[in-house]
Amino acid sequence: MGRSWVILLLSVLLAVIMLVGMQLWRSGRADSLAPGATDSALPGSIAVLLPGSATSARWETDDRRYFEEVFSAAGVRYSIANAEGDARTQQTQAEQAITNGAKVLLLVNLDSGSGAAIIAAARSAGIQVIDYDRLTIEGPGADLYVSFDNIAVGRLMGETLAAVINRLPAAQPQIVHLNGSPTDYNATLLREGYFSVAQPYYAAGDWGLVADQSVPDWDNQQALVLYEQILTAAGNRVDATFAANDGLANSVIAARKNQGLDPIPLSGQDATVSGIQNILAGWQTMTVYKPIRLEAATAARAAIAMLNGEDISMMTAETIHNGQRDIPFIKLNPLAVTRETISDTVIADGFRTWQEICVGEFAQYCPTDR
Amino acid sequence: MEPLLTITNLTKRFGTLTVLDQINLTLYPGEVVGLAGRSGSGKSVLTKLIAGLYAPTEGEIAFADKRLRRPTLHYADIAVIYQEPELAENLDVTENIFLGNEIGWSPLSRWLLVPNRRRMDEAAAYMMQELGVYEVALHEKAANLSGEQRQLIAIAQAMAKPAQLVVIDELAAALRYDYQQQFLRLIQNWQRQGRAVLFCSRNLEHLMAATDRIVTINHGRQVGNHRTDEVNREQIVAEMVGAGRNHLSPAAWALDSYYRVREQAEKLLFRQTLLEKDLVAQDTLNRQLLEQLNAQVTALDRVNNALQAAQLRLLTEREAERKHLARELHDEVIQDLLSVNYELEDMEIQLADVPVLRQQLPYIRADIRMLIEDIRRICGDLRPPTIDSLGLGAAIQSYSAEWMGRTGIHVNLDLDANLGRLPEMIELAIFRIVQEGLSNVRKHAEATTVDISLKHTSQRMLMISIADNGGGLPQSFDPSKLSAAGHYGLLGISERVALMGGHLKVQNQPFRGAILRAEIAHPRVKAVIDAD
Amino acid sequence: MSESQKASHSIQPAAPSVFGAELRLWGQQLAANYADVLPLVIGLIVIAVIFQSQNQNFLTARNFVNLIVQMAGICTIAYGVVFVLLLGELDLSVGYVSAVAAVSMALLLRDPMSWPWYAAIALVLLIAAGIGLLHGVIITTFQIPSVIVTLASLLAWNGVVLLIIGGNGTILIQDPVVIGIANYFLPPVWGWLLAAVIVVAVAIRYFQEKRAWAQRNIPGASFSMLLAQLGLWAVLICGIVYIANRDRGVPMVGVILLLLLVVLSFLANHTAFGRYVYAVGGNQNAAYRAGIPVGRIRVTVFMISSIMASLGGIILAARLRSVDTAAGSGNLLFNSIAAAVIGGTSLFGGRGRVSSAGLGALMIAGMENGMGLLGLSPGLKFLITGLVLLVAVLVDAGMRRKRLGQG
Repeated sequence: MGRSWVILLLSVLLAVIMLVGMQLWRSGRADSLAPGATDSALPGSIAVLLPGSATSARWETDDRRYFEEVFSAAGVRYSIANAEGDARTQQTQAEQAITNGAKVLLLVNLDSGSGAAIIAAARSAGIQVIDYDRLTIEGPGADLYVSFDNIAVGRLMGETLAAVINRLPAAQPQIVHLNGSPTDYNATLLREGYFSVAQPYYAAGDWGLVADQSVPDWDNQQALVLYEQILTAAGNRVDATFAANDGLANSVIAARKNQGLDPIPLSGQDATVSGIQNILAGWQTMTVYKPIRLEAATAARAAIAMLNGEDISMMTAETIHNGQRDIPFIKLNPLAVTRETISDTVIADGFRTWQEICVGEFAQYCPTDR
Repeated sequence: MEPLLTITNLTKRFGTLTVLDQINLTLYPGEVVGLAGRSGSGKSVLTKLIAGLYAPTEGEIAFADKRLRRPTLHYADIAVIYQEPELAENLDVTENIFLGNEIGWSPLSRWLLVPNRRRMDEAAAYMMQELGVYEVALHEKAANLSGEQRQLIAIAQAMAKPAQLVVIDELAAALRYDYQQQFLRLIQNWQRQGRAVLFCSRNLEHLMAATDRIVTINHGRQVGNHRTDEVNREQIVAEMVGAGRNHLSPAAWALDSYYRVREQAEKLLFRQTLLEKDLVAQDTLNRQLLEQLNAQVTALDRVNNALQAAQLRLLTEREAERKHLARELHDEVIQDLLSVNYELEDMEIQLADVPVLRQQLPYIRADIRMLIEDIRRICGDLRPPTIDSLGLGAAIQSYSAEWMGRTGIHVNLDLDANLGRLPEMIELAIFRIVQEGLSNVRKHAEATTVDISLKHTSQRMLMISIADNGGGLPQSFDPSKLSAAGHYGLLGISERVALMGGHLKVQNQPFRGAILRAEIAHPRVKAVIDAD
Repeated sequence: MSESQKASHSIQPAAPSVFGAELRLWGQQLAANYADVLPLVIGLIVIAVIFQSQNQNFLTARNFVNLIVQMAGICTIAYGVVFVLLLGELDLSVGYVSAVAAVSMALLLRDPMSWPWYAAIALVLLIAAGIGLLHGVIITTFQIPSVIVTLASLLAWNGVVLLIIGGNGTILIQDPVVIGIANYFLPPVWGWLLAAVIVVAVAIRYFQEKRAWAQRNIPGASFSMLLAQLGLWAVLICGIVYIANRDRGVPMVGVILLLLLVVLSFLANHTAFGRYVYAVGGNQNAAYRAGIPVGRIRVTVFMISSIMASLGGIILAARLRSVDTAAGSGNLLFNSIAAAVIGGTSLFGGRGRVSSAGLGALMIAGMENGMGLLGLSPGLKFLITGLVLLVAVLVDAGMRRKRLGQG
C-alpha cells in the first residue's frame, strides 16, 4: 500500500468521524440550543466549568443538560466547558471565560488548590464565583456554595444502614468503610457523615470496625483489590460495608461474588443505573439520590440572580466555613433510595427510567406494573 | 541462454547529483562479472539498487525476466554481501547466518516456521569450515565479534541463501589474505553451481583472478565492458580513472601499484609468522657469518700488515742492495779503473815512441775517466754518497746542486735548521721523494724554478713540499689513474709516503705551477745535538 | 513451560559424575540462564517475607489464589507489551485499547445487542486487531515514532470509551461465561489433571532434549539427574495446584495466563517470527537487509499488543463484573509497562522474555496485594511502590552493566 493511499484513507476516515460526530452532537443538543445562547464572546454571560467526564458520568449527562434548560429558559448567555480531569485545563478555561466577558463563574473544582487560584483570578477581575457541588477550601473562597450537604449524605447512608445492621443476627457485626478518593474533600465529608452515625455503636462495642480505607481517584479496579485484601485479612468476616458511591459498591459486590460470599448491608451514592440494578438484585441496600436537577437548577438560578445584580444573601441564611471565611451556603437535602422507594424517587423525577434499569437479567427484579 | 539479471538504462540521482548514468548490464547464470571503479564511482549505489535499498530514478532492473520493484530484498533469489555488514547484535552466529532463511519445520506460514537449531548449527559449522574459519563459536552473540568475523558471517549469510545471484560489494578489505583467497575460491564454487556473481571491487588482482568479464564505471558512467581474458590491467585502470590508454597519468599507476603493493603487504603479513619463526635460526646463522667475516677481516688485516712489512723490507733491502752495489762500484770498479788509468799513463810514458799508441792512449784514458764519472753518477743515483756521512740536508743540497747543473732549472732550498739525523730509512725515503719530485718537474712541468722546503710541523712530523712554477697539473689529473697513465714517479712517492704512515697531497698553486706536499711521521729527533 | 524448555536447553555436556556435582552444575546453569530475573525472584521472596511478617494472611491459599486473579489483567497486557518493547518501540495506548475492548464487549452483551459471549469476544478481538493494524500502519508508513502515534491514539481511544459508554456510567456484565473468565475455579480433580498434563509435557520436553544430545553423541544429564529435575518441577506444579485446591481451586485465569504464556513464549523463542522480532529490535538494518519484512513484523507486533490489551481489558472487566467510564485509566498503562520492564525487557529493544513479564506482573500485583492487606494509606502505598520500582530498575541496570562489563 502506498503512502499516499494511507494518507487519503486516513483523511477520509477523519472527515467521516468528524462529520458524524458533529451531526450526532447537534441532533442531541438541538432542543437546548437557543440561537446565540452560547455565544460566549459577548459580555455579561455565565461560564460553567465542569471537572471531567471519566471519573463520573453525571457532569456531561446530567448537569450540562439541566444547566442548559434553565439558562435557555431565562435567555441568558452562557458557556459550558469540561476540563476532562486536568486542573491546568480548567484554569485555562476559567481564564478564557474571564477574557470572554463572563460575569459569573459556576465552578466545580478539580482540587482545592486550583479552585482557589481560579477564584482569586476571578475576584481580581471583579467576577463572582459560585462553588458548585464541591467546596473550595482555603483560599479567598467563593461568593456562594451550592451543594448537597455531604455530611448529610453520609449521615443518610449511616442511618439507613444502621437500621439494617442492627437486625443482623451477628453478635458484633463487622463493618468496613470503603471511602472515596483521599484528594476529594467530599469524600472526607461523606466519611464524617457515616462515621458520626457509626461511632456510638463502635464505642459501645456493638459493632466492630474491620477496615477504614480510601480508594485513590475513586478507581473501581483498585477498590476491587483493596476490598479483596480486606476480606482476606478479615477471613471473610465482614457483615456490612459503607461504600462511598455506587462504583465502589459495585467493586464490593464483585469481590464478594468472586469469593462466593452472600450479600450484606451495603451503601452507595449517586443512584446510578448499576447501583439501582444492584439494589433491585438485592446486593446493595441503598443508594443516596441527590436530585441533580434540583442542584443544577438552584445553582443556575443563583447565577442568574448574581448576573442581574440581586442580593444573594436573601437566598440562604446558612454559611459554611472554608477554612478562611464563612461562605453563604445553599444546602440541599439528599434522598435515600432503597428497593421500596425507587419508583417514588428517581423514576418519578425522570432521573432514571425503567427501560435503562431493567435490562437483561435485571428485568426479573423489576416491578411488573412499571 | 536466458540472462539472469538485465539492467537497462539504469540511472540514479540523489537530488541533482547523478550517481549512476545509463548503466546497461546483463548477467547470465554461472557468470562472474566484475565491477571495477574507484571509490565514489557508484559501485555501492548499483549494488544497493539491485538489493532494493534504493529505487531507480530511471531505467529498470529485471531479474529472470521479472521487473524488480521495491523491496527486492525479499526475493530469496538474490543474496547481497555488503561492504559494511549489518548483524543483529543480540542474536548469535547461527541465528544471524540463517536470519530470514531459517531451516526448520513450518506448520502454516513462513513466520510460524519452527527453526531446527541442530540442523542450522550443523550447516553453519560446515560453512565456517568452507570459509576456513575455526575460531568463531556458533553460540557467540554478534555483538562480541570482530570486524573481520562479522564480514565472514555476512558471507555465510549469502551462502545460506539459496540465491541464483550473489552481489558482492567490496568486502575483501576487512579480510585477511588467506580469507580473501578462500573467498575467491568460494566465488568459483558458486560459479560452478551455476550461480551468477556480480563482484564489485577496487582490487584489480581479485577481479582479474575471479571474473569472466569486467565492467568499469567512472563517475557513474559505464566506460568499459571486457572479457577478462582479453583485457589487461593497464586498460582497466585507465578506464577506472578516465584517462586514455596512451596518456595514463602517474596517479593511475600510483593507484594500481597501491593495490599491488597492498596485496604484497598482505602476503607479507600472512607470511610474517613463518618468517618470525625462521628469524631466530637466521639470527644464529648471521652471527656465525659475522664471526667468520670478522675472522677473515682480521686475517686480511694481518696479511695486509705482513704485506706492508714485506714491502717495507723490500724497500729497505733494495736500498741496502743499492748501497752495497754503489760501494762495490765505487770501492772496487772505480779503484780498478783508476789503477788501469795509472797503468795506461805509465804505458803512455814507456811507449811514447810508438806513435799509434801515443795517439790512441789519451783517448782511451779520457774514455776511462768518463767511465769513472758515469759510474760515480750511477753510484750517486744508487746511493747518495753524502747521505750516510753528512745526512739528509747535505745530500739534498748536493743532489739539487748537481740536478740544477744538469737541468738548468733553478732550485731554491729551504731546509729546517734543526733537521738533524733521522733513521736511515726515513732519510732515504725523503731523499727519494725529493729525487722523484724533481724528476717529475723536469719531465712534465716546464718550470724554471723549483722551491723545495723541508720543515718540522711538529716534533714528530716532517713536511716536505716541492713547488714549481710550471704549467701545473692538467685538469683531468686523477691520482687513481696514475699507474694506468704510466706515471710511476708520483705513484712511487705516494707508495713511499703510505709506507711511512704519512699522507700526500698534490695540487695546483693559486697562480702558477703545482705543489706536492708530503707529511711524514718520524721517531722523536734525538740526534740533533750529536749531529751538530 | 518455557522455563522448563529453557532450563533443559541449557544442559551442557557433562561427564558422568556424582549426583551432587551434577545438581550443582544444574543450579549454576539455572543461575546463569536466569541471571536477569534472579533479582526479581529474590525481590519477590523478600516482599513475601516482609508482608507475611506483617500480616499472617499474606501466604495463605486464599491470598495466593487472589493474587493470581489480581495479576491476570496486568499480566496479559504486559505479555503484549513485551513484544512491542522487543522491537524497541512503545505502545502507550494499551490502557485505553483494553477499555475500548471491555466497553465494546459489555455493550455487545447487553440488551439491545445481546450477543452470545463468544461472538462478542471474537468481534472485540477483531476490533483490537484492527486498532493494532491502524497503529502499525501509521507508524511504519510515515516512520513516526510509536510513542507519538500511540500517545495520540491514547487520547482518541479514551474519547471512544467515553463516547460509546455514553450516559450509562457503569455497565454491569451479567454473562456467566464472561464473568467466569475471572471468577471460575477448576474443580480439584480438574486441577490435578491439569498438573498431570503439565508435568507430562515437561517430561516429554526433557526426554526429547536428552535424546537430541544423545543423537549428537554428547552425554547429557544422567537419568537420575533428569528425574530429580523433573521431580522438582512436579513438586512445584503440584504444590501450586494443591494450594489452590485448598481454597477455591485453580482459577480459570491462571490457566489462561499459562496458555498465553506458552503460546507467546513459543512464538517469541521458537518461531521464525520471534527471531525476526528480536532481530528487528537488535538491528533494524540487519533485519531489513536479511530480507525480513520489517514493516509487516512491526504491524503484526502492534496487533499482538492490541489483542493482548483487549484480552486484559476483558479479564479486568470480568473481574469487576462491570465497565465504567474510568476503565483503562489510572495506573493500568503504567503497571503493564512496568511489569514488562521489571521483568528485564529492555526499553531499547532486542532483549527480554515473555515469561519474565509474568514475574514482573506478579511483583506489581504482589505489592498491591500486600499493601492492601496491611491497609496502608494511599500516600504510603504510592511511596513504597515507587521506591520498589526504582530499586528493581536500579538492580536491573546494575546487572546489565555487569553483564556488559563481562563482555
